[in-house]
Amino acid sequence: MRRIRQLLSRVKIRQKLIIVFLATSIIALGVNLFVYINLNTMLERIDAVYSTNINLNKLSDDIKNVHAGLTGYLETKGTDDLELYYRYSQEITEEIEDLNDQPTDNALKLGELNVRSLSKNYLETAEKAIRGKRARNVELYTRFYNECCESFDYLNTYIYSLNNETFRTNSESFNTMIDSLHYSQILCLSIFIIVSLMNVLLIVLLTSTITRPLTKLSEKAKEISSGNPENVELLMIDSNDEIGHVTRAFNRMLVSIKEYIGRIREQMVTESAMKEKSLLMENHMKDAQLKYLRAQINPHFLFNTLNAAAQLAMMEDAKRTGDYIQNMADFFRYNVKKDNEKVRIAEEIELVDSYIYIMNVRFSGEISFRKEIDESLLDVIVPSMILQPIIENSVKYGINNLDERSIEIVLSLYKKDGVACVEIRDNGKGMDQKIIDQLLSRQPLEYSKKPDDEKSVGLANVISRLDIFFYGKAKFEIKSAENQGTSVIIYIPRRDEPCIE
Amino acid sequence: MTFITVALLILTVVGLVIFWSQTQRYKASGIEDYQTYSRHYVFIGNDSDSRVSERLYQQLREYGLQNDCYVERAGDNLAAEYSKQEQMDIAIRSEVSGIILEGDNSEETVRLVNKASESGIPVVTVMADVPDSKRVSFVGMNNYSAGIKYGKLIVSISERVDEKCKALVLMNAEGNSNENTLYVAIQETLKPTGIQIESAVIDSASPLSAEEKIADVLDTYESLPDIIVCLSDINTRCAYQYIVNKNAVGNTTIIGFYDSPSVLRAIDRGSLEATFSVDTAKVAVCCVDALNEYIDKGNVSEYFSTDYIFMDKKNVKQYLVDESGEGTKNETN
Repeated sequence: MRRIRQLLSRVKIRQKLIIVFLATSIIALGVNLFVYINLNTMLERIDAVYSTNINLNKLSDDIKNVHAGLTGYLETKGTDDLELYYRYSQEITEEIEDLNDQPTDNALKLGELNVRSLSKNYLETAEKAIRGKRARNVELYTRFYNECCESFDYLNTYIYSLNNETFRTNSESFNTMIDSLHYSQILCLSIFIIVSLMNVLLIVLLTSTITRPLTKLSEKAKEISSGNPENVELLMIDSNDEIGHVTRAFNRMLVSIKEYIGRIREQMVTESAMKEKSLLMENHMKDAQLKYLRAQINPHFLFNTLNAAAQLAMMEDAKRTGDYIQNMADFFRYNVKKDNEKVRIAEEIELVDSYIYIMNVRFSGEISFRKEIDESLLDVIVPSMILQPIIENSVKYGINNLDERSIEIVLSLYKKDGVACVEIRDNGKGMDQKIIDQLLSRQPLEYSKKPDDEKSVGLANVISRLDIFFYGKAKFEIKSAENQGTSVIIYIPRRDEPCIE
Repeated sequence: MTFITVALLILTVVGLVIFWSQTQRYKASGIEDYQTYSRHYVFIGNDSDSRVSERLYQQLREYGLQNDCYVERAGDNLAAEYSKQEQMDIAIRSEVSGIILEGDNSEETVRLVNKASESGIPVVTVMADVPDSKRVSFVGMNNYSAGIKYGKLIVSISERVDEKCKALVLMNAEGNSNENTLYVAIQETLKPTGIQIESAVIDSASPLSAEEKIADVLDTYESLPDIIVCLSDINTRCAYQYIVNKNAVGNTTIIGFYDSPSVLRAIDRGSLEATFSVDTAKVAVCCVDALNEYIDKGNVSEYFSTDYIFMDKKNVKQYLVDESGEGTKNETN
């Protein structure tokens, strides 16, 4: 059975259907043919039952005719009688050839043997009588004729008896055969019913090898269409027909769908991250711009005004005033020009110089600013406006502590482990550790809700922009202790690493 | 479902086999079912009602079948009844292989035996011979010794009954030399005793006439004979029935012929003194062997002798095998 299934699994659907129809048709045809042939044989046998009686009746009639011919010829020597005699004697000769010629224990066959022998004897005696008549030997043909009459009498008795006995036997056979025929007909009907049932089951069985995989396929398709293709398992392929091919293709499709969905999901995650990053950056930039605009009031107007004031101071020989105003003008110009750009770190340092100068004028030179610069690193590219907010932060925290000592700020640019580092140290009162933790963990700062003087470009903004610019690869370190100052270190990744253009 | 399909397939095959066997069932039966033999013999008896003849035929047939011969009983299954001579004539015309004939003394029988012989058909006579014919062999009984046995039996009965005992021998109409020999032997045995013996011929040639003839003969007697000797089975049965009807059982002693169950039971009860029977099996063997030998070798012994079986109250029980049985044991006296 398993072999048949394996064999069927390799057969094409068309061939399977042909096999189904052929198998059922051949079975039905074979059974019908078998039944038809046997019933036909049986009917022929029934028809032949009385044939022996018919033959015996004919033989009896022929003997009567031949005897009539013989009698007529011996009486009148008429040619018609002779012709009658010869015609029927010929027929009798042929007919008795069909009769049994062997001694047997069957009464009917033995009767046939006797009839055959007596007929033969009759014909021989009759022939002698005919010859006697031709020889005009009255005594001779009379004697043979008398013998013929006796034989005729015996023959009639034997044929009659045999006929009766045969008829009795044939009637019994006929009745038995008719009964058997009825029984056979019922049997035949039963066989037809069984064969029909078997054919139906056979069709169901064979077609199920086609429909079962289709049903499975359909169920899987429904599962997929229900919207959860990732949980759908692959179909088992147990046939090599068209459905097997379709199932294989279906499985491939399912795998592709799963892969496609995975890819789309990854892409969506990436896009979402990108979008979030972009939005965040934009948000920070807008926030910074807004804060700057608010702070600068009108940088262009201020810048132009300051330039005019510087020139005026120069014309009036007020050099310090002129330098101060010039530094202010440079500071604002940088703000106007370098907004939202990537810059060399040297430019950032220049901005810090201007800012310190301005702050020193403002706070009467109490800010001690020192630079420790590795000049080979001056071309490192960084986002604009990252150092000034840190310096501003140091100044702001240092101012609060002015009563005791002067503000000391050190800006260092150096290389550590192949990475450019910018470090800004101050000797201020230090930062609250809680704020440092919030800054480093990129959490929103609470101080953003504090008064206006603290609304400068904060460290948080710098950190966020560095994260965005360097894809989070720029490290940011803040070391601070109460009244011990603060040290902010920025580790700038190498230039060949990716950065936002 | 597969199991059901396979079961239905098996059921179909079984059904077809049954159907085929059903349709073929009657091919081998009836007229088609027979066996052929190389020789065809015909047995022609004197009396178709004779149980001796009937039993002899059965033995002939049985033994013939064992020797590739089929023995047919003339006149069986025929719509008309033919005389013995006509049956002989038909057998000759049918060109049978051989004839076993219960002989008689008629000239017609002699003529037909000679005609058969001329036609190349050997004739073996049985029980009674056809003297002066061209039969090839005769299978007969030792009638003289049987007659002496009959005589001695009569003497022993007469000693028991009466000194002036009268005995009657019922002979057949076809009375032949065999019966005459037997009768003479009885007479010779009884001569010194002074027992009066008579004979009467019962012409039972026509069917159903034996009983009437016996009644006619016995009615002529004022007092029934003390001993009645019957030389045929039909005469035995008729005489016995006559005695029973006349309520004369015990007054008359019957010595019968043949061993039919009723005769044997009568002997067992004491109604019949004794009976003589033919060892038909031995006779049948002799007849068939004689014909086969003649056909095969061209000659055969002219005479085969067999003895009668004597049965009386002393040994009857061993022959009463069963009441419906016809056969006696092959035990000669």
